[in-house]
Amino acid sequence: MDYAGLLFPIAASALAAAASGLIGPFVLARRATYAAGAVSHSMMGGIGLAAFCASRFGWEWFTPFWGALLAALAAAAALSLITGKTNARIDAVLSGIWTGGFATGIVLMVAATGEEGDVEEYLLGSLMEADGTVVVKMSVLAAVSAMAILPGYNKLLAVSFDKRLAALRGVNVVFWDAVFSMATALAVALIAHTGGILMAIALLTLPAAASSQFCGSMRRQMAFSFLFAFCAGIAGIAAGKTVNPLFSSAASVFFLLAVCAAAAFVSKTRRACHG
Amino acid sequence: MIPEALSATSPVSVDGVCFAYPGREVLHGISFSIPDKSLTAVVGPNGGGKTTLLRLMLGELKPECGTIRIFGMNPSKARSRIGYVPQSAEADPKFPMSVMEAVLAGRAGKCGLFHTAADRAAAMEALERTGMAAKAKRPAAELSGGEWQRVMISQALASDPDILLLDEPAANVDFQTAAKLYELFAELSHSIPVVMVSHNLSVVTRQADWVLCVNRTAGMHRLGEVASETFQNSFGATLALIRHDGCPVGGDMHDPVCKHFSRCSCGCGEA
Repeated sequence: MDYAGLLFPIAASALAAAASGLIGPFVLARRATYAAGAVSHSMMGGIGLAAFCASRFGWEWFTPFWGALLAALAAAAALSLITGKTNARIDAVLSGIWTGGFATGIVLMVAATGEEGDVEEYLLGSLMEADGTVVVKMSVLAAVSAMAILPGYNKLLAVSFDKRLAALRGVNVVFWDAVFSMATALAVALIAHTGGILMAIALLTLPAAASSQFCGSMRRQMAFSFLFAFCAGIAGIAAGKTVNPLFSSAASVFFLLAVCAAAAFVSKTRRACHG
Repeated sequence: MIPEALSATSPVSVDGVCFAYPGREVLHGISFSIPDKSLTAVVGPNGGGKTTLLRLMLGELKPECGTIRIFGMNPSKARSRIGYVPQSAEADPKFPMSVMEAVLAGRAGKCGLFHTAADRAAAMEALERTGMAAKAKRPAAELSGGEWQRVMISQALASDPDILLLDEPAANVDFQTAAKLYELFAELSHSIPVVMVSHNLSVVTRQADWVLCVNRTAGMHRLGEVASETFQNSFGATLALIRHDGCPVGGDMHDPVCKHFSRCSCGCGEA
């Protein structure tokens, strides 16, 4: 087995786990899992746009990574603006972003190449193909997410806990909501870069949900979510390499299955060790 | 009524304020001032405008006419000086944070990037005042409804407020805890003004210095000056005084209530 070749996939799964630990518990506590799903699916629109621009205008620099990142940030910004400035129903807005972004992506891909393209790869990811460039991009996204979340941790915690009281205490709720939306978009783009769109939703919800069963504080949930996601990533890489090394999405699929299985197991065998 | 000289220096002054929700006027031309270092009980029937009045004083709602000044400022500018305890918190009781973190959230508007030792000391002092210090490190998700309410009061106290606005702060706590909390509010009112919405008229009569009767209009009365008729007019209901010190039941309902208030509780029923 080529162990040296596993270094980058392991690094990529560690960075995805870091995003899961950093953002996931907040997503869960704010009951924003549907928002994470909408932002991650909207990335398909950016990926389609990148394919379209590359095909029609020769914009080779505008890769699917940049398209996905742009779409995720745009979706998060739209979400913040619409929910912050209007009385629109949040679930309807999320449905629009979710389905509209994904459908637009498919249409643009078909328009660009005459076929649907590698939708499967974008959905399931290709963790085993992670290389140095991918890891560097993911590291930058992880660093920016961390810089957005950690310095404002206390204010973000207060806003996530009770928006109304936070506003009455003088916290700029609109600003911190926007910061969180952007950090979520970066985390989604980071995870989806190698893990795929489905993995982004899974990693931003399931490790935090599992750790919430036995962790009573946000900090502990963040630490355990990271460990939980990282272990699932290692298990996914090992299983993917063993079962079907030729299937590029195998590691991601097993990663996803490991996260789901472990979350279900923890929920079922919940132990009370709060603190 | 509150003297003119007092209103000039009052922490809260409300002048000719009107407010209406679509199709329903809730407050009409109300004017009053809240004296400093006093406990003002806001009483009135459900839907009479008590909570709306608090929201106007917090700057969450804007009056359609008239002005509200908190320490001479627009209410929204004075928010950092107001400690507020809502009737029911929007917060998820299962939110993953410790009791101490929940209280520290009260200082979120004042703290920098990190909580300082002073922040923690203020939070711990607030927890001690509400009898929750022993549970500071426990997950907030484990608290009962009454304990949760005490944490919310601690959160308001931790912000070092210059005025406290309380919307039925003891609605979810047991009788003994409620009594301790009311004593705490009375004690706090020796240093800052405390404005408390309450349906518990026995508490009003025991602890309050002033009574603000709100039922679309508002009337401010010193407790010793208020008569049972005032409550009846405010509630639009029949009020009965129930003496619980052995004195005869069914005394003169037109007597100044101040004669009874130290010993009596009031009940009210719809007219």
